[in-house]
Amino acid sequence: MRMAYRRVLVMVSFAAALGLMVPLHAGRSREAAMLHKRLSTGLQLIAVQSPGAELAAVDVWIRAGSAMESVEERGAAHFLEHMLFKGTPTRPAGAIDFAVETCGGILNAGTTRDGAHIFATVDPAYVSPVLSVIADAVRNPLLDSSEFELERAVILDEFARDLDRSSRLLQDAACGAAYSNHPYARPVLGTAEDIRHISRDTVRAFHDRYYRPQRAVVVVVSPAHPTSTLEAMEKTFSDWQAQTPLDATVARSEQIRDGWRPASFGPVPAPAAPGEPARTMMIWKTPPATSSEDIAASELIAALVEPVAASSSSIAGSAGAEAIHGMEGGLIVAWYPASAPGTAGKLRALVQRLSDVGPTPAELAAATRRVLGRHLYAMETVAGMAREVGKWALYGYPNLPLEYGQLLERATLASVREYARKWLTSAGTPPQQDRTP
Amino acid sequence: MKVKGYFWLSLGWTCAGLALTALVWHCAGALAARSPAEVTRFTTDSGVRVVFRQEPESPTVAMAVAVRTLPAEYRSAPGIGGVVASALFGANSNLSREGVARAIAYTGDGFQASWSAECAMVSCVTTPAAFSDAVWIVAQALKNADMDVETASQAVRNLLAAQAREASDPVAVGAQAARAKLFGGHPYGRPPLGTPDSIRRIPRQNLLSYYRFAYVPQRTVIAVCGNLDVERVRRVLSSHLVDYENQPPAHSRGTAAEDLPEPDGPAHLTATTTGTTAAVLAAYRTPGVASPRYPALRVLATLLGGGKGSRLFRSVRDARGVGYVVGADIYAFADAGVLYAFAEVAPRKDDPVFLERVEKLVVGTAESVLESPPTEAELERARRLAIGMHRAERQRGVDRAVALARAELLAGGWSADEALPARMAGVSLSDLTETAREVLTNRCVVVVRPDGTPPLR
Repeated sequence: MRMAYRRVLVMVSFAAALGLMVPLHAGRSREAAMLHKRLSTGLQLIAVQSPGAELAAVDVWIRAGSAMESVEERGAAHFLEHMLFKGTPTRPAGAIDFAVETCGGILNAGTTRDGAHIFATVDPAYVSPVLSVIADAVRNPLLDSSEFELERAVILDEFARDLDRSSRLLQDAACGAAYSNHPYARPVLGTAEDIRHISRDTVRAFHDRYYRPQRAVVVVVSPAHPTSTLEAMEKTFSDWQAQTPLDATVARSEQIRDGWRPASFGPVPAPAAPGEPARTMMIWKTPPATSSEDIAASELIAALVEPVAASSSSIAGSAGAEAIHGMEGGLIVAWYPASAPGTAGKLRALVQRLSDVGPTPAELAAATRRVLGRHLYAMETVAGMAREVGKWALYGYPNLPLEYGQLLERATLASVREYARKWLTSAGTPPQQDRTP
Repeated sequence: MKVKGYFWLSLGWTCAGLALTALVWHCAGALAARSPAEVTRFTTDSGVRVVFRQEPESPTVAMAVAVRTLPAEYRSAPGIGGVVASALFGANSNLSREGVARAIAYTGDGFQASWSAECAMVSCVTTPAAFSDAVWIVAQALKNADMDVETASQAVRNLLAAQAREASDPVAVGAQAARAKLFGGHPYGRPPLGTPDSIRRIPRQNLLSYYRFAYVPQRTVIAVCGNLDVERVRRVLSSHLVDYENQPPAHSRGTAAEDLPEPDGPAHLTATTTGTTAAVLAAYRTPGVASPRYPALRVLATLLGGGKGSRLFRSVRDARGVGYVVGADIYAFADAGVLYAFAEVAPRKDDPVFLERVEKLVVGTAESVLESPPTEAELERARRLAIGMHRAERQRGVDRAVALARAELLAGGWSADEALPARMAGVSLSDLTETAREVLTNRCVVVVRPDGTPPLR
C-alpha cells in the first residue's frame, strides 16, 4: 500500500505540491526553540525543540563535500559517506544499521558539493543511543579493505542509476556549465573511472583531513527541552578531539575561494533522462552563500523565474526553476523543453526587467508565498528541520531556517531589484576559471 | 590470523548484541508512548463517511477524500481512472476551469490527486479559516465535475509523460509485470497509468460515464486532521455535500475478492526498460490490507528488505556488492497484495550470467526465511523499524489524513491504521513464519533488462 500510493502521488500531482503551506505562515502555532553551543574543540551542537513532534531527528553534518576533493581524490567524499556504515573498531559491518533500526530508527546519509551528513529519524526516547552510534560511525570508520571493494561495486550501481535521474543530471550539467574549472563542476559521485580507481588510502586520508570537530555540526530536533538534549549531545561528543593539526590545504579551503564573478549562461542543452523530452537551461551564477539576505533574494528570483519557465510546458515537472546555494557560489537555473526555444528570450527579458525596475508587488507576494511554502513543507518533519538547520549551520546561519519567514518579510521590491542588477545581468560566456584547490 | 579475525568479529557482534539488548530493555514501551488524538467518525445525510482527527497543535488543516473506484475499473480501459481523477478540478457546472484554479489558489494551492486500481484520492492542505472554501471545492469536484476537454487533454499528456518516466524505472516495470501475472485480467493487475493506446483518445462521454459510476457517496470517505471544532466539521461537510446524490448502480460490484483469479503456479518473466539499469524482482501474492495477516506481512517485508539491516540488504548489497537499490516492499490493495523482493543493478558487460546470479541471490534470500527462521534480534529489529517507518510516514497532517481515509475505505475502519503499530509490535515468531509459509509460494520472478542489451541465456 505504501509503495503504490507514494509512487502515484509523486507522479501525478497536478497541483503545486510545494506551495501547499503558502498561506499558513501567520497561523503557525508550534514555534521551535533552539540552543546553539560551540565546544572548545570547535564542534557545533544545536538542539531544537519542536513542540508536539512525535519523533526526533539526529543529523550530523561535516564540511567535507566533493568540492573539498583534490583532483586525485575525486569521488572520495561520497565513497566515505558509504563507508561510514561499514563498521568501526567496536561495531562490525552491519551493526551500525542494525543498532539504529532496532531503535525503530531510519538511518541514511548524503553528500553534497559542500558537505556530507548522516542522519536518523527515531523515537525521542532513543536519541542518546542513536547519537552514540552515529558518533562512532563518523569518528571511527574502519574502512576495511574487503568492505571497500564491495562498496565500490555498489557505488558504480548508484552511478549507473543516477544516469536515469533527471534532477541529478540537470544539477550536474548546470554546475558543469557555470563552474567549468572549479571543483563544483564535478559530479558529487565523481565519474565511473574515479570510482573504479580511488583507493582506500585516499579515502582514509580524506577522512583524517576533514572529519574533525571544528568542521562538524550536530543537530538534534526533538520534542524534549533543548537544554536536556544539548546535555546528551555534549556527553556524547565532548571527547571528540582532532588527532592531527589542520593542514595548510584544509585551512585554505576554510576560506571562501577567490575569483567568483557574476556570469550568466544559456541557452544550454540539458541532458535528459530516458523517456523524457530534451530540455534546455538558462543559468545565472549567484554569489557565495555569505549573506542571508542574498540567499533569500536568490530564492525569490528563482520563484519569480519559475512561472515563466513553467508556462513553456503543460507537462508537470518538465519546466521549472530553482536556486542552488554553495559556499563558493550558487546558481539560479531555469529549465524548459527544448521544443520551446522562445522561452530563453522571455527569461532574459524577465531578468532584465527585474534588474531595471524590480518585480511588481503582486509578483513579489506570489514569489514569497511560493518560497515560504516550500520552506515550511521542508520543515514540517523533524528530519527536514534537522537537515535545514544543519545545512545552514555549515554555511554559518544556524538560525536561518527558523527565521526564514522574517527574512522573506524583510525582502523588498528594491532589494530584489538590487540583487538582480548586481549579480544577474553579466553576460558570462565563456565561464572564467575560478580556482582549483 | 583468520581465526583471530573471526574471534574479534564474533566478539564485536556479541558486544553489539549485548548493548542492543540492554538498550531495548531500557527503552521498552517507548514506541507505544504516543498519546492518542481524539477521532470522531460520522456519516453525512448523503451517505459520505467522515473521519475527523482533532489536532489542537496543528497550524493547518489537512483533508483527504478517498473514493473506491474499483467497480468502475471493471468496465473501463486502464488509465481512465487516472484521467478522471486528474480532471476533477477542471471546469464544473458552477465555475469555469479558470474559476476553479482561482478558488484553489485562494485556499493555498494545496490540492493533489492520486489513484490506484481501486481507489482515487484527493488531498488538500489549507488553513482553518479556508476550510469551508476547500470543502466547497472538493464538493464541486465530487458532484459537478465537467470533464472538460482542455483539462482532460492536459491530464492525458501528464499521464503519457508519467508512463514514459515509469518505463525507464526497471523496478516499476518489473512490479507492473508481476501484478499483471499475479492478478490476470482483474483491475489489480492493470497499469494504473494505463497504456498510450488506452488513454490517448478517450471520448469525453466515457470519462463522464466513469465519473458518474464511480464517484458516489456510499463509496466516499473524507478524513480531516487539524485544529477545528468537530461541530464545524460536521456542519460544513454536511451542508456542502447535501446534494451529493449519485447512487451506485444496482449491478456494481462491492468487493474484489470473489473475482480474483487463483494463483496458477510459479512464473518467470522477462521485460525491458528504457533506462540504463536492470532489475530482478521476486513477487509473491499476499492477502490485502483488510486481512488479519497484514501486520505480520509488514513485519515480514521489513525483515526481508526494509532498512539496511534487512536480510536482502545485508546478503545482496553488503556481502556481495550487488545493487544500490535493494529491498522489499508490499503493494497492497484491500483484498490482495504483492510482496516484492528486488535489486536494481547496472548490467555487467563482462559477466553474461550476472542477472541469473542476481536472480538466485534475490530469490534465495527472500525465501531464506522458510529454512532459517529469524532470530529474536532480527524479529525485534523488523518490528521496531516497521513501526518507526509507519510513524515517520505520518508526520505531515496530509499524510495522516490520507492514511485514515484509506483505512476507513479499504481496511475495515480508520482505527486499523492507528492500531497497526501496536499490532505489528505483537507479531510473534510463529505469526511471522506462518505468514512466510503462506505467502512465499508460487513466486513470480521478473528480470528487467535495458533495451538493446542481450536477452537472458
